[in-house]
Amino acid sequence: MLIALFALVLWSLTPKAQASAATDRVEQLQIADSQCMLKQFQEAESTYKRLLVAFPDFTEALTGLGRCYMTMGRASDAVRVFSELVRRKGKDRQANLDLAHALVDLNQFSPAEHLLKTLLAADDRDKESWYYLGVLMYQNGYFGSADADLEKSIDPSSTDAGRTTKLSIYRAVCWVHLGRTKEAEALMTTLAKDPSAQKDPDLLLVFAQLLYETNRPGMALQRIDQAILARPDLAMGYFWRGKVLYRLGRLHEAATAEEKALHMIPEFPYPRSLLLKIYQAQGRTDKAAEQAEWLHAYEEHRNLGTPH
Amino acid sequence: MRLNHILLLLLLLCPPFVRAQIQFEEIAQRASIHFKLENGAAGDFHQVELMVGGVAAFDYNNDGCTDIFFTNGAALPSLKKDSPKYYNRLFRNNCDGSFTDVTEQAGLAGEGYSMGAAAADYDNDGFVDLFVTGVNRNFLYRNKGDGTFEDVTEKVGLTGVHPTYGKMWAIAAAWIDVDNDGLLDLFVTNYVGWDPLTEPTCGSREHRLYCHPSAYPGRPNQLFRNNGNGTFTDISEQSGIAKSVGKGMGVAVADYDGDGRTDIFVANDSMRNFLFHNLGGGRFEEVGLMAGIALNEDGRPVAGMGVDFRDFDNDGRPDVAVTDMINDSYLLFRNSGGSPFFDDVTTAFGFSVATGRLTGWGIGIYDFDNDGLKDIFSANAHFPGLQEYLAVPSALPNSVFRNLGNGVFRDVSARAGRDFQIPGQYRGAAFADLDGDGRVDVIVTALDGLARIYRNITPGKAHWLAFKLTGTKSNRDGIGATVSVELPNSKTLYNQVTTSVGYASSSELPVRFGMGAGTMAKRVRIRWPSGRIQVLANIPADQVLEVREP
Repeated sequence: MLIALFALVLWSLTPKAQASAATDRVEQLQIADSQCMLKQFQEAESTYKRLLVAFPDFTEALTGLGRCYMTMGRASDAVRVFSELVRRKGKDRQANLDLAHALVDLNQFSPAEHLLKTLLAADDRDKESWYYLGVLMYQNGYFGSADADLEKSIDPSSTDAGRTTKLSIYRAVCWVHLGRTKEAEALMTTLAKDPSAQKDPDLLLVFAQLLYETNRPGMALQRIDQAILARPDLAMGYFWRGKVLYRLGRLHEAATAEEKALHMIPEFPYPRSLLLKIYQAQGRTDKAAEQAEWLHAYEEHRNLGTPH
Repeated sequence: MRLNHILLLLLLLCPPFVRAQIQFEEIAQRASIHFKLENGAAGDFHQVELMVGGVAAFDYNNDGCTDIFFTNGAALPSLKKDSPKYYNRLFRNNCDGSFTDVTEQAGLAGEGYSMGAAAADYDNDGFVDLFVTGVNRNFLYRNKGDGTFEDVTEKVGLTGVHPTYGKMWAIAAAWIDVDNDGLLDLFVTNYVGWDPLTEPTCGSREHRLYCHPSAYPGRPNQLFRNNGNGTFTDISEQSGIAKSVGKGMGVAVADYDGDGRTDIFVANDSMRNFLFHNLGGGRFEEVGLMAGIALNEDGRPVAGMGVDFRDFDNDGRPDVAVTDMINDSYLLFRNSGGSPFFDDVTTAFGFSVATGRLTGWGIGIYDFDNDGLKDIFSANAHFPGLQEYLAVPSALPNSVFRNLGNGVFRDVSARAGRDFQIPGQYRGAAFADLDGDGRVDVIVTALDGLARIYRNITPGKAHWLAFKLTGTKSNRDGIGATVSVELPNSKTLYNQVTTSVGYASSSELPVRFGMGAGTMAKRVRIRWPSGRIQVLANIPADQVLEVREP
């Protein structure tokens, strides 16, 4: 037994064995990538990790693992992996961009902003970085700079139709918030006809918001109903339905919609606030008081700020 | 003569009242008002730097002309007014279009880092006194009636040091007779726990930012009962006020449920707003959520700043307007008297689109064109340091929204005159008729900039009527009195006496009405805080009528 093990170690040191191992690790990486693509996440994670144990310097496996974490929606794990990758590869653009993407996903504003601006300082034609910077600004309600950054990220030669559509949706939402309502409405009308955009919650609900805020609640309701049809899992859709119906004075239907939103996400405070008003208007004071009590308790549990 | 000919003739002889475009001109320099608001910022991003800038409009020398008091910051982190540039300033109105800086002789230069001001005659001696809020310390200045003020803070017990939290950072204050005993009590909003030496740092190393309010602990507001012997007692605990811990900014008072007791609204920063319902006997219950006024239409708290609590739809019930931060429209709550009491009409009244891109501070619901419909003014500015993110400068022009009378406020700022377009880091705003022409003027402070005096030059011949009340059983200023004016066409206008308006600021005492074409008030009804009802008949327009409580 010991002799066999010794022979194996000796063989592994030969050039032929090392070439074979290299081939093997590339194949293993391809397997891991395929597993991730096929959403066999547990298997993919195990394969990547095995590879990294066997080949600790195999940075491609780190990249694969990090990207797979992003696909899995585990951005904080991805940040950990990409941070390690950046530590090893220094100024490698792609590694930094992967890290930035993960930070944006986690909405880690300051580090993401810093990293993306560093990348852009090195190359201000880097459309990928402009895109992620735009998304970061968008997520944080800085619609003015989001729109400017997203505009810089437009790549006419891009073949990524999904990205192009999402970019247009983000910009349309920015325009709503920037008061460019006519342009926003025109773009949203076009996007609403695009099958790849039709189920996008940003588009569906902000279009309804625009119609609502410009005093067209009936049209807003139509949009919301389309949104719910496309995304029946969208609690925000039911919240908006209730909100518009309340404004239209259709209290019973408004209550039903808000109760549905609450059923989907019991910790969702917005529907409770509206239900409080609806129940009061319906004369259901006990039910209204229950909502008020919940909202008070919710507020008490929220962090009011801690001394430093 | 046929009927239509008669109507045409009548139309020619008596042209219908035409509403004029609201217009302002800026006259600070011409009026010799040179006041620069200094916040002591030196690159350390102290939170207090953002919140300065209250202003008070009041007649300190009883000459019938409204004077102006500006609060000012101090050096940081010492919080000391170690240079005259940090002095608070009192400008006496010379009643000829000019003002004189009388700070030193009046003894109002102040101490510490000042925030807001609230003016009223707390001791009923006929001279308006002044309360100044600030960081770690507040001040009460008693008007001695000879053009000077005396610091009586310690003597009366109003330093504002909290028994549990210690020194407080107060923003605004409101004089209010909570128990209708004829003595003005004092409500003070407190913001957050803050210490310059332990200020958290926010943003990145490369790009420091002011912290979000969530980085600081909230604080309760305070209520002080006027004992009638020159002293005050802190009744925050027994009144129920202290139960609600918030991040108080602007405060405004009105009797929203018509029970004869004045209630209190507090705009909180990034927390739900408070509505303290006056239960009588000096007790309050916080009912913001149940009244439908705590959150915005989406059920979210906003970064509330300034507030005015006044009837903007002339139905006899005071409504509420609140300024807040970009991406959250300023809030309009209409008091329907139903259940809930308030409806959020922000979107329905056109404010979502009109104000969604603004950040606002001072606000006032006043009838600037005297057409009988109260309009809205807001002092605007984004937070400094956010220019890069918002892609617009933090300095903004102010806004004026005309009440069209059909449930819509239209933004008419762009046509309000060239001077009105000047951007600034505007903060507090006070409202008063400075030149006695019956049109409401606006005084606005600007961070790191000169205060603006917007003289109202709205053209046209709209009539107006104002009342300066003198209480006998009620508090002498008549604060809390509600006044209704019935016009010859039977339309009735409503307003109430208060000085607590906007953000950390105090406006003139007289209660005003725009009367449009009406040259006479058919009937005036005053409900005094004492409960007395006084009715006047056939009062000619275009005057400030002094009315004494019978």
